[in-house]
Amino acid sequence: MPLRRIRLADHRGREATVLLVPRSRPPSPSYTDSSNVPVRFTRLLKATESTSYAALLSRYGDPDVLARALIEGDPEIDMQATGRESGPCDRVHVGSNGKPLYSARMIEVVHDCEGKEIARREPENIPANLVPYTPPRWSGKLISKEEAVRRYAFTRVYQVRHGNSLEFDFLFGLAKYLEDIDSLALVGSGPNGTGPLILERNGTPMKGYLEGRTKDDTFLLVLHLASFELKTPEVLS
Amino acid sequence: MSRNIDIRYRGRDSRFRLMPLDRKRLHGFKRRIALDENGDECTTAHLTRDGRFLLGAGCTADLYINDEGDTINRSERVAVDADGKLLPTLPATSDRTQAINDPVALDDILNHVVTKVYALDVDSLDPTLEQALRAGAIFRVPYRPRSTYAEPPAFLLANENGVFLMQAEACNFDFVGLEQEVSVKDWADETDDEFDFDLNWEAEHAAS
Repeated sequence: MPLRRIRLADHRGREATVLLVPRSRPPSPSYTDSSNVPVRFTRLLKATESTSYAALLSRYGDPDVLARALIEGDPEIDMQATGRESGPCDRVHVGSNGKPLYSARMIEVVHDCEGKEIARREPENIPANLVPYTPPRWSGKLISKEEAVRRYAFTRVYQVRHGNSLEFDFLFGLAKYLEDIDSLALVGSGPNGTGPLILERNGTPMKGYLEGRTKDDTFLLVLHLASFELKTPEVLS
Repeated sequence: MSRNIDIRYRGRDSRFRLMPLDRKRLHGFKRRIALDENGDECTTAHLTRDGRFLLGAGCTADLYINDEGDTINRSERVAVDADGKLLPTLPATSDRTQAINDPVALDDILNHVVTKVYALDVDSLDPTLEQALRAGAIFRVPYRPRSTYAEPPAFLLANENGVFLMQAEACNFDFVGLEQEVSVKDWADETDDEFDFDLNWEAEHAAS
């Protein structure tokens, strides 16, 4: 699987573009039924757009006629489709006439924290900023481990890894420095290195903190990412 | 309806109500919608790959089946490992008091990634636990909303904004040495991809 990269600066004013390796998840278990026969997940068709209420009403023209048809037969069941496995599907936009759209105008809807719509606007594509064109800046913002874990919800994490020996020296030095000062360092975007990190196009802006540890000639450098602070909505308001 | 969690620390019980917390609830959210030529909002549906069926909301059913096509209820499934051995099922922790031990080290929580966050509303808080939380202690709490074969850890902590429970999963990162460099074939180079795309595009159009 292709890996993300990040352009990092360190406390000595050096910089390098290094690799972000995601965590490895434990394998999911298999399932059986009570008689030890393997079971699998599947998605079956119950109905299609052609048997939806709107389509049936359009076909029969009147709710009373439709009700009579439902009593006398099974027009709501597509005998050719019902019970089939859906298999892989493509997501499409459907217009008010129930047909797929070949082109649509996208807009962005902004909701407040209670879910109410507060604005509509033309969507703006915000690129990822892990590998900026200009050299990154060492933010110099350090935070103790105690404060970091009690202040942020770190919902994404990557191990920072090297692709060659020069990068190893760079990352080992950074991990050793962070271990010695027993702190996490803010890694960000912008001229001061304190702006949010955006990992993918139009992704959620996140605060990134680097944590470093060393053991003999090995190191562990981890980028912890938080999309929100541990606060309640009442505290924010 | 909010869930509760009952915790016993040094023989004394505390009870909290759990309220899910995420970025949406704190800062709102954005979503993109599609409009048709009349400016009406479109719905989304799934089109089967053979193009035969258009599936709107509620047109499919997710279920488990065995080799003979019989439906198996979710609660009747039995988890097994790769060798077919039965995995022990741990019961849900709801309405059961969970005993917690001494606080965990900071590195323990940093070895995990948060999967869910709950703000805790205090129903009753034992002074001993309150004092420990105020002093910055972080506790590992058994928390399973439903019965499960795995035991994902949850951490109880407090800051100046309240008390929180964070469900987490282990990161499983190892220390790496000089020889453990990441193979070049695993690199993703967005710049190269774009360049290749342009070259392909030019090559195709030059040919036509």
